[in-house]
Amino acid sequence: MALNYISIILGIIVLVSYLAILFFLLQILARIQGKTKTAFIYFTISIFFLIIRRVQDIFYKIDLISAPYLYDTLSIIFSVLLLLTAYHFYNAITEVTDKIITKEKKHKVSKKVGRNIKRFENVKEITNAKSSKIKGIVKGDYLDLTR
Amino acid sequence: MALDYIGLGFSLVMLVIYSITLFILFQIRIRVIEELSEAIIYFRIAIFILFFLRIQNILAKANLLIVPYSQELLALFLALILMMGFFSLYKSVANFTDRQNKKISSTSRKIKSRNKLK
Repeated sequence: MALNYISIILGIIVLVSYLAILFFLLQILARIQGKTKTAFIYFTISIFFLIIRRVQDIFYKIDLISAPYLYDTLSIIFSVLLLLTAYHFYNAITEVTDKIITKEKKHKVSKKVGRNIKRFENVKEITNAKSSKIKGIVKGDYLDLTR
Repeated sequence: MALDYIGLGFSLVMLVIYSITLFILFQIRIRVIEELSEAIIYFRIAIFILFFLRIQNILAKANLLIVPYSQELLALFLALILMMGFFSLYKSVANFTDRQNKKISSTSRKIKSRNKLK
């Protein structure tokens, strides 16, 4: 197998970008807490596996390592970790989104109730005005048609 | 090159796992959390690329599609998309934590000033 320089260079570029991703991930991990932290820990481990896989691929291309199914095994571990990350991330985010949605719903309901009360008050005012007019018109037991 | 059934089986399992991951990512409501929406879209694209990478790998193993450097280029594209996703996620997380720190510092200042007045 001839030494393929282009694929090795591409592999090294990919490795450097994975290291940059790892740096960003560690920065995020230092800032967050709670359930999302577990998701990011899984993501960090999965990126570690991606790095190991890339290193193994580079070594395979240089003809230094040739372990059968190592690439596939590392890929399957990465995919399982990615699935766990997505699950934990989904759980953490749905908690927040559900809270926001319930707040919005409550706000909408209160707005509707407020509008209805205003409408009701308007109707009350109108009926009161009408009744006062009628009261004014009706004086005593007879109709005051002079008004 | 003979068809490697174990490798093919591994790849199919991975495809199933990636599709479940994609389904979970599509369940997240990005309209509600606008700050994280960009990062989540990047992650969805990254999973799509992983999907294509795996399909390309299966086809290459079966000697059906052999494009030179396609795997490396797809891997590079995946790395770039993941990096962009993490960068946007880092920005949103940093904004959020900075805001919280400002709030905490302002409340602690208020408490200190009250204590001084007492």
